[in-house]
Amino acid sequence: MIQRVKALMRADGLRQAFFEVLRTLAAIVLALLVALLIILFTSQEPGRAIRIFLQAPFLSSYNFGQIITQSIPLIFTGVAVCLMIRAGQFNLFVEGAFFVGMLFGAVIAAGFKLPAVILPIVAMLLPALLAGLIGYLPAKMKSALNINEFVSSLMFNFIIFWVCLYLLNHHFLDPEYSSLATRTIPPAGKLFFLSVTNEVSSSFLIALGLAVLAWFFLNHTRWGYAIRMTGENPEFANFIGINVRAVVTRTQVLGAAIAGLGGAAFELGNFYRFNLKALPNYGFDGFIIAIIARNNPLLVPLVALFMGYLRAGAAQMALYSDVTNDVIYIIQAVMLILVGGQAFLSFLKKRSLRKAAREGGG
Amino acid sequence: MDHLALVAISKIYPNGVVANDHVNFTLRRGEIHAIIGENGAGKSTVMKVLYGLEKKDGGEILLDGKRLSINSPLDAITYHIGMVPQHSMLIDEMTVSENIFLGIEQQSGGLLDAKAMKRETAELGKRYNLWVDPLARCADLSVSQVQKVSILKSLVRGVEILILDEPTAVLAPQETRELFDQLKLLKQDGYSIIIITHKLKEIKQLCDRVTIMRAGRDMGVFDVADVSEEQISSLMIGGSIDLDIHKSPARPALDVLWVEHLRVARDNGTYAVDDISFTARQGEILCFAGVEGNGQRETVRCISGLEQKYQGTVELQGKDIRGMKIKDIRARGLSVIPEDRLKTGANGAASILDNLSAIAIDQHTRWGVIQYRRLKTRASEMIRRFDIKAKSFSQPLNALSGGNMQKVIVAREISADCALLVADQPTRGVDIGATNFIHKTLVTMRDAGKAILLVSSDISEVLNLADRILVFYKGQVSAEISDVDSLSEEQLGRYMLGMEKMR
Repeated sequence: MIQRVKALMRADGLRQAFFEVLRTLAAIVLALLVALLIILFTSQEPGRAIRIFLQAPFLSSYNFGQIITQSIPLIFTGVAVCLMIRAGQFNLFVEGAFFVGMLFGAVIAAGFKLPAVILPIVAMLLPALLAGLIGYLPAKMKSALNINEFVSSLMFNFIIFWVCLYLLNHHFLDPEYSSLATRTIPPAGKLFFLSVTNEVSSSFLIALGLAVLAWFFLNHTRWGYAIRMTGENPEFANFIGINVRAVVTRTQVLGAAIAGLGGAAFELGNFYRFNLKALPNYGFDGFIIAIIARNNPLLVPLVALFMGYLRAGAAQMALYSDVTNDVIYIIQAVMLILVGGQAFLSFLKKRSLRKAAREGGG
Repeated sequence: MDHLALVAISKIYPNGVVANDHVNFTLRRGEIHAIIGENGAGKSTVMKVLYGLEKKDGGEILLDGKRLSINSPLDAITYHIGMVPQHSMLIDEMTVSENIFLGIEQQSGGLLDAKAMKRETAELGKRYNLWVDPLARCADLSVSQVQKVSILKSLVRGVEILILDEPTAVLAPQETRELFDQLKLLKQDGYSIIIITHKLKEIKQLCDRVTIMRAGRDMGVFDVADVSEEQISSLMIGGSIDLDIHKSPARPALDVLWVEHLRVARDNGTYAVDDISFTARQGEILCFAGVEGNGQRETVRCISGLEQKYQGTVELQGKDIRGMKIKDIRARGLSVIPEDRLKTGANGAASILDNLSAIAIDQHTRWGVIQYRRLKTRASEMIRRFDIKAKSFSQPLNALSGGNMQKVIVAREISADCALLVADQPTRGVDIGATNFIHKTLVTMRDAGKAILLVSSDISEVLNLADRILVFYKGQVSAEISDVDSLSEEQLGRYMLGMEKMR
């Protein structure tokens, strides 16, 4: 009897999971089809372009490495966004925090005199701390004054961006370099490569570890519980004695810190100096990743790798054919709409529910 | 010939609950037809399908033999079908006649003809004994007046089939009788009335036929004259349940809760709670009776720490709780079963396990890591003890029926070993089996020396359970009754309606 019940339970859970996977796959396939159609109509030699787009990432070791490298910032920002969305907060400051992390990661790694292992660690933790501190402002504005975090964090990104650019121009500039950039990061400050041939850095491992850690944090700790309850039903969270305001503030600070850490790790792993002159959009990409991963940190690396694959392919396609890599934005948009649309394929779920209801004898 | 027929209606909600499974229902012209069933039996759902509020997944609706397709309340009204919802759907800021003619305003020369609307409201009200001042603001109306306005609203729209969703749930006995007289008047004029209820007594008093529902299916339709209350009840529940509460006299001991001169202001400067003082004692069920909205909710919010803006004193176990964190108030021995299950009492999206564990997380945490293994054992034990019907504790709470959700909340709050249990409408929307279980649990806890504060607008619940009653009327206590056994329903009703005052 108990075994029968257990089997039924598992079947029910599996069916739900299966449905979600199916839905995501269908969205991906449809999005790719739309992209291929567009290539078909715009390219002079669509067959070749499509082949490069889909095949190229697997054809050389360097291109394959690009899949992973492209996914690293997406994992960091994706995880940060996941945590914040689970607390019900749509905070865009991940963008600014990632930028802060990259800049200060480079500055600290190039400026501090510390031994080899310690230096990159310090150069990642300090920017994380800084990003968290800055992130406290929009977070506190939300919890104390109820200022919508979406709007205030969006504005914050621009403030932070221009402040960083000012600092870069006037304080962190390497006068001996040909363009606007910080000084070179010495080898002692770099994160080591996992593979030198395709330049995949160990920041990938940090990203993976962080995703697992975030999953554990959300589902198995007291603080994660408070975040989930606050995000799903703040009134209930308050009723059972959770300090909802504190959770709202702290989660956004945590998200900003993770994005800051990610920026620094990405910088130390894959660059020799900081030379960005625009916001890199990784924070906004983090939202796309989080939504497709259904706010589950464990799924974030998978989605990010897939995105990495698309970007690596699109980059090759832009190089060797007449199609620009803007195609991936179309794919992203279609995927996002389909995955975000609750009704997409819901008839399948309904059918499965009916079946389950009948089997359950209800 | 049936005027209206619902044939094999099926409805499955997105969370997998089969609310209706091939339900049949027929209505004759000029009859009052009851749909009776426990909460969760699907009686509201089938009526919502008829009124276009829910989309059916199968079945047909026939009016005089013609197939109808009803996708929205607007469609339903075109076919002269109207529904009076359980809770007010009126716009508080507008007057009675404005609400009644909302969307179908009468005009003269392109301008609103307020006079004509007022006149028609008054005339219709007089004809069916549903008189409400057409110029009164809806915010100022009593619950029963709101109901009258809702009925008038349907009549003005030419409705001939009127559905009433549990119309007596919030009424005092006197008001119920009045409503029934009005409905009989409508019936004489050829209106057909469907009334959703779970009260057996009402069927005998009012109805011609009854359709009995259980677990999403209809158990058949009967002439009320031909069936006994016992037969209806056993078809409804599928067996017999011992509904009597065996309760020994209370032996109250120490004060646990002490409330003195409590006042809570509303935004408009009036007082929702206007100088209330009382104590709750160990081993006693103290009951807040009264029509809803007379200050009970605000009082409970102050006691449970959810409302911080109040005047007066609230002391729990000898300590003033003003400014205390909810966590600390709970640690002092407060448990609450709140009025609103899904908004306050539980997190529908979270698992049953997380809901059952909500106030035990801190005790089951080491180094910040929740010891889910222990919590799971605990949850299984609770599910067994409280007979919660769930497939597993990892199911989301949403997948449960109302009664089982309430059991989850009761199980959680009781498990905390409290000194004071506040139970705010603990059996509303809960099936008979669970209601009975909750009642027995409250008595058991009382006998174990806990202080129980029961808030209820259900008169039979009040009379069955209370050891002492405070009747709330307009933010004040209109009566305190210690000798509950010699209190009649009538008398309690008079206190509830403010017709009489004690002290």
